[in-house]
Amino acid sequence: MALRDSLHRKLMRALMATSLVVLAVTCTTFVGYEYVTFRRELVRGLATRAGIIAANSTAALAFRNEADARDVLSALDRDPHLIAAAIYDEEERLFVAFPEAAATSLPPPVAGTFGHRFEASRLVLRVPVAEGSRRLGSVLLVSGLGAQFERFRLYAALVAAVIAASLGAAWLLANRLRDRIAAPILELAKTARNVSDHKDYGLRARHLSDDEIGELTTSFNAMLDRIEERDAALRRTEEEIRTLNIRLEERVSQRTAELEASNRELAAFSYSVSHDLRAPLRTLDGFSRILLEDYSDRLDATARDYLGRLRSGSQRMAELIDDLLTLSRLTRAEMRRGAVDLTGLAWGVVAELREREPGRSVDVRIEDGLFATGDPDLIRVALDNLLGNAWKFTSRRPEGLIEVGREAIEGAEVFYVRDNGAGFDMAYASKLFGAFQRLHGSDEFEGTGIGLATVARIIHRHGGQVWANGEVGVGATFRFTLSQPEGGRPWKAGEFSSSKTIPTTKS
Amino acid sequence: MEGRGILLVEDNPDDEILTLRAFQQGRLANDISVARDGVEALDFLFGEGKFAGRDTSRAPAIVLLDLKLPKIDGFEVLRRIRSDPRTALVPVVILTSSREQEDLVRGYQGGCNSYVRKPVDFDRFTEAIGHLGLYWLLINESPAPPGRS
Repeated sequence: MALRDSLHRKLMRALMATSLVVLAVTCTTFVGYEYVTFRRELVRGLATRAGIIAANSTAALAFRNEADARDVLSALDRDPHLIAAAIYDEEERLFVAFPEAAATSLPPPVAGTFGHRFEASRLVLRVPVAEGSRRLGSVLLVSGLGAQFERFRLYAALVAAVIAASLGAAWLLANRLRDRIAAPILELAKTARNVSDHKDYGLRARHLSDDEIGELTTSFNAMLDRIEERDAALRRTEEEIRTLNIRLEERVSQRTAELEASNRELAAFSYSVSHDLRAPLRTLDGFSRILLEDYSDRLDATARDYLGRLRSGSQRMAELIDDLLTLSRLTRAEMRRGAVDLTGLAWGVVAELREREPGRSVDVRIEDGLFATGDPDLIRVALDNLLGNAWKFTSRRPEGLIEVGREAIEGAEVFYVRDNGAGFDMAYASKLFGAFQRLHGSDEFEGTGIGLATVARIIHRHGGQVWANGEVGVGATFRFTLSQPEGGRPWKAGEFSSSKTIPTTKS
Repeated sequence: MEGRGILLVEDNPDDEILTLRAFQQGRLANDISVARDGVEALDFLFGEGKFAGRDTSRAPAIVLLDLKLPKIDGFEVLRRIRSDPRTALVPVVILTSSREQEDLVRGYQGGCNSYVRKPVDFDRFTEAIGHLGLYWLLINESPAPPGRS
């Protein structure tokens, strides 16, 4: 508690010093005044007595009666402080001295000088003795200053007593003042310390005085009020956020459970479809075939045609089921993100396509160094469908061209697959990515209409977008984005072995 | 190897007819027994139930096993076949409609020797059965069942 000591001591020192200075000034003034007054009175008293002696000694001097003169002087016997007295004749010769022994110690009179003078320990006064205008001689009185010293001893004692009493009173007063001034400050300091130590904003400093410290206390308490309000508001908000979080988590886990349940149902459904829906188709196809084989002699051409239609219908249905299952598997399968080499995957797909139809001559250009982050299996399926489409729709071109590349659109990295095939009417662009939507008759181009729905599902699962531009008879361009690696930053240019961007042509 | 039969475990009568016909067309003369659910298949293999007294030392040359079966499913039948010393070495071919990855994995984990998906196209179905029979009955060498040296 260094503060308390320091504050108290400072207050005490200030008060004592103030008292002392005031007392010193007062006492000095008083003593000085008394000194001057006292001396003046001393001189006046002595002069009065000298005047009386002078008046009474005129006759004695005129008639040179020593006995009378001695009588006059002996009246001074009652003055305890009188050291010596003397009467001089007009020639300044000593006429009588009192007491007679003092005659030798008297100061020699200086002719024509009257008045008083203070010597070390005595007051010397000389007055003339005159009869009318005739000078007869002079009276000399020497008085000791014992009275003055006595008085001053008294004063000294008095001053000492006054100072002691005053200092005592000042000390008591200071102590009380100290408590009255320091206590509110200490109270304030204690409260501030408690608030900061315990983070308890409910504490308040006691209001102990109505001065500036009281004002400070009020302001401090008001500040604490505001802090407490804000603290409470903060706590309320935190509590709300916590509650919201808990509710959110509950909702998320509920939704997750629902989603898992629906996924399980979907899985069970797909499983069931996979197993059960194909068996009747096999029956249809199988027995149609058996009819065609075993009973062909009893069937006419129309019946055989119908049976053929029955077979192709069931086979087509089997394809649809397979594609649907693939689509639903894509929805359910867990994503495994990794670096994907689109260039490599695309060349792989093209190699398969060429193998399937070795007779086709299609110019395929795939940009080098196409990389992305995603699920390689899923992206492979997407490329399978996009390139498969391009391959399929360029089948009627003598010089088919398929391009795969990358371009930057509004800062985003966009991949594209472009062909110069049959194209499509932009009026139907919105239908492209729906399941079972086909823009071409099955007699024109085969397909189930699930391929692009599959592509869209895969791209969306990656957080990307897919869209298409086309023109009938000119070709089609399919563009897609994949979520960028490392928080949306595009791959650095240096990471590509080469980067020959194929210019975009409006198709 | 001659004379050892085929056990077809198939609950769908249409598929049964088609499979038998495919075998006929493949000129595979082995006698074919048909079990219509999992219980029947196990009874046949272990000489129990309505097959009590059957000579179980004559294990089939091959078991063609569907997965979706009434009462006991194909995976369970496979598990019992593999866990019984009398049938542990019998080749089992899963012949099913499903191409679910899950089924494939479970099938191979359960110890099937082959997994064949029945094509819808009857021509390809016939072809597949022909290949199957040819491979497992004529080309493949299976160890002799226990008890017959």
